[in-house]
Amino acid sequence: MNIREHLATKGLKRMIEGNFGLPVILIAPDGTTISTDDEGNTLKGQVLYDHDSLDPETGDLMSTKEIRVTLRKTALSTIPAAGETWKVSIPDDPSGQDTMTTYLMNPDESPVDGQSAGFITLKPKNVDQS
Amino acid sequence: MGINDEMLFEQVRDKIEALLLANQGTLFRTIVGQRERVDSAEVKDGLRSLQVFYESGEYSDSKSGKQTKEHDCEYRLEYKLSRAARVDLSVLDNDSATPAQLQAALLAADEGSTLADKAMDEFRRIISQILLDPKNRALGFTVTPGTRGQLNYTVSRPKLERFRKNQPLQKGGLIVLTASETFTTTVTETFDGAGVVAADASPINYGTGIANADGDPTADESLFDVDTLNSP
Repeated sequence: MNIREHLATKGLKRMIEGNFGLPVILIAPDGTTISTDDEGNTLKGQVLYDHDSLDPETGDLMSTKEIRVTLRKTALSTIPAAGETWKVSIPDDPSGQDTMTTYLMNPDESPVDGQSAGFITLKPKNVDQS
Repeated sequence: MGINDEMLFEQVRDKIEALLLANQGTLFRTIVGQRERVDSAEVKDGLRSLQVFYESGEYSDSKSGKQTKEHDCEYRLEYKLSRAARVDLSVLDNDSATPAQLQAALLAADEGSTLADKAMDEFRRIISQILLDPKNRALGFTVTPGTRGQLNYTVSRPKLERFRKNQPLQKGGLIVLTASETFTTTVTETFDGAGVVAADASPINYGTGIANADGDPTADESLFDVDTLNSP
């Protein structure tokens, strides 16, 4: 196993699904539910509830309340692609892991594909009852 | 009319705001004046906001000595709203839903940007219907009959111009859409300088800006007199 393969499997698994990992449930556009990883364990990802960004008008650094879900691609049976609508369920907050909240990854926003390291970052958005 | 009285362009601004406030109901929220920021969650669903402010104006040329000038006023209307995506959560969050039902629910999901775009069209319709309604032609000013039977309005040629939508943006998990439009009208302003505040005749003591021994930088003491300081 070369270092890239090692990073894509064991390294990413430790970083994304280790102590920082939170349970994630996905529903693919075809209705398939993905709640376990490639080894049959609970699917986990690194969930950030806010992140830093630059204010386009002022250039100031600010904390933005936008969710980012990073998953190991080898853990997924189907990988989300741009233009697809997926359901993404994550815990309400990092401590209360029992209550999951539903978000949508929809064609408005493509996932960030970390091709060289084998991860994918979803940018799910709020959803209301239709 | 003078320095201490509101000119017509200010009165028109107040009348537009009053008209919008009277008609907003639960359809939108009128924000008076320029505000730095509006949070995306503040403008969700029925809480869409409309900021109104006097943006620019120009006085027409007139013969010297004339006390009135035509004032072409431009008021900026800034529309803002946000929308979340919509989906049938009763299916999507139902653990016993079949893959086919889940697939159908995801297919029927409405994107936030599409919903925001439609909501903006509706928002513009509402504002146009209020501001261009013939009943509101006078903007709340008194209409006086002219000598030839015509009606004299304080504001002339009111128009809504240059509506433009901006690019939808994702903010805080919501899609935010903004747009702007200009309300233009012409009023006849009067200039007579009446009510000018009398100049203060008392001398102004700027001091030296250097604190004296008591720490008072405005003290006018001979210690800080240039001649004294420069004397050997």
